[in-house]
Amino acid sequence: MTKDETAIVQGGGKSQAIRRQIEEIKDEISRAGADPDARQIALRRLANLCGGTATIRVGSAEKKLHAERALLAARTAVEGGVVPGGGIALFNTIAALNELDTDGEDEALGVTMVREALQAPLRTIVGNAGQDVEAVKAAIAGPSRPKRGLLGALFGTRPSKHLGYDVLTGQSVDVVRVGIIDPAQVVRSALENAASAAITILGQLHT
Amino acid sequence: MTTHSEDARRRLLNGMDSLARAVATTLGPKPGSVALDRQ
Repeated sequence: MTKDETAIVQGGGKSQAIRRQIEEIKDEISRAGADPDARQIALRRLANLCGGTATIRVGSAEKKLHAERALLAARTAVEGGVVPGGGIALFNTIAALNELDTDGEDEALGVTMVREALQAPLRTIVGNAGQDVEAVKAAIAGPSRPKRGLLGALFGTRPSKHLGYDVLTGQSVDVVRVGIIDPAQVVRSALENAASAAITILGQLHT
Repeated sequence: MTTHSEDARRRLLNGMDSLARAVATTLGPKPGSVALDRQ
């Protein structure tokens, strides 16, 4: 409860009565017509009654920031899908660089730089948890790909496509299954912005 | 203040590195904290 608001937790009420109230508010909205304020308030009451909204009350200012960011991430994810999180998605794209034809030493150096950069998020996250990156890399690349015959390939359990590492539990897991995911748009624009900044800086080198 | 060529590049790199180090500390599920001092 605050000076402007009272929250009723687990309110009751007969569904018929609630429906009647909903109709009443719909009436009010059509009567409100041009007044945008009244309309807004009525719409909000309607949404609250229809159960289409959730209100999350968060304890501290710091936690509130986290909650707001989480909400933003969830919205972005709904819009553009998700990729394996914790730096795994970027790390997995490195394989694609190996198929690149480079023209001369300079281009090869550029590819090497991008390859290093794509490992940086994973390395940083694992490093912050006080764990060894090389061990994690081995765990990701390693044991779950046994050689299989044709029948095995057709009917055997497929190795996880999203093999990664949970730094909280210290285990290699299917990151998508345990919910370690990032919005695809966020990961993509992070890479795009990093490349753009790098190009700007490197462009200053020989003027 | 004006700086040129090698000196300018070195200063630019210094700034990028210290920013990157500060941000890197905060990444992941077990992050460290960074305190900012406004001058």
